[in-house]
Amino acid sequence: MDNKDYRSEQFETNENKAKTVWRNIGIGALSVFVAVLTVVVINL
Amino acid sequence: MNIGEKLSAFWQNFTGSADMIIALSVCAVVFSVLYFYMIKFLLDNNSGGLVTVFVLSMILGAGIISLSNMNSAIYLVIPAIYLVIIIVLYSVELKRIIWAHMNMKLADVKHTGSRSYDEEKVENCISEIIKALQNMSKNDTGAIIVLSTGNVPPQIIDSGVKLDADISSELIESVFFPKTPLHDGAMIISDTKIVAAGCFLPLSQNVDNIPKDLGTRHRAGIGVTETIDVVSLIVSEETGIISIARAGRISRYADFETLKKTLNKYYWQELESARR
Repeated sequence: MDNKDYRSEQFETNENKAKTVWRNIGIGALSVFVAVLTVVVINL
Repeated sequence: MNIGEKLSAFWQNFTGSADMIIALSVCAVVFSVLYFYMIKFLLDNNSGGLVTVFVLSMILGAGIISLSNMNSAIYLVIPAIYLVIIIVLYSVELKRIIWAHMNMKLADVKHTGSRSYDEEKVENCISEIIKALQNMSKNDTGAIIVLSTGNVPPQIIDSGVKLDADISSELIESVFFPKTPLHDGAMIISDTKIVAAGCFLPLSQNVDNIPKDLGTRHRAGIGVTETIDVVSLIVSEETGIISIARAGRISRYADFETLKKTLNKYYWQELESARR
């Protein structure tokens, strides 16, 4: 049973922006690698 | 030709003319964008394993095709297969993304018009909603109220019963009174009207960030905010706690001040932007 005093909590209004940015950079790098591989292979 | 000769021929071809450089660069950019959204979509849906398999199969396929005499266009079959897998396995999630994008545009259109609000009527609506929420909280009556700007898809409205009624705490409490026909679904409010009740909402698929003690009602309240730009007000049947969900996140233990602030923002956001 929850005995916490019922007070309002703040929203988590922002994600961890730096983590998201690095994640997107990592996905971008992987995408570019696979894309370059694709372009090279289909033009061999 | 061995692979070294093939790569050498490719490089000569690539650097041979500006047109070739531009064409291959554009191809690389297009593929990069496609792969970026594919990989991001899979990671967002907890399918890191499938991403690993995709990358490994692309590398393996590149090795096999470059070492053999196969037609190199066959290589495109690998990403095509993964696209088909994504469409088949994640059709529901893809539908939500398309839905959310369409509703965001619809919401933008709705916001650009200026409306004149009857201040007294709006204040009355706000107080009636808060009164209903507090009464239901006191009596441990479960409820979900969705505050929309007319951007709720017709499929959700049609899943319930259309009311088109003025907002009153008595009506809200009657709808959610246990064992009444409409108590199990969500109430959709748009401006100063109760549009519908007993509506079915999409459940949140986010299993990591939602506390385990929250049940289906809260997941529905959160889920609808993940796909549509709305606010959900949720009353727990077990504890009477009032929660507010917005953009896939939930804030629990909402008190009178928080509810008033949320409802004022909902009703007056448009009015303030019209005044600027």
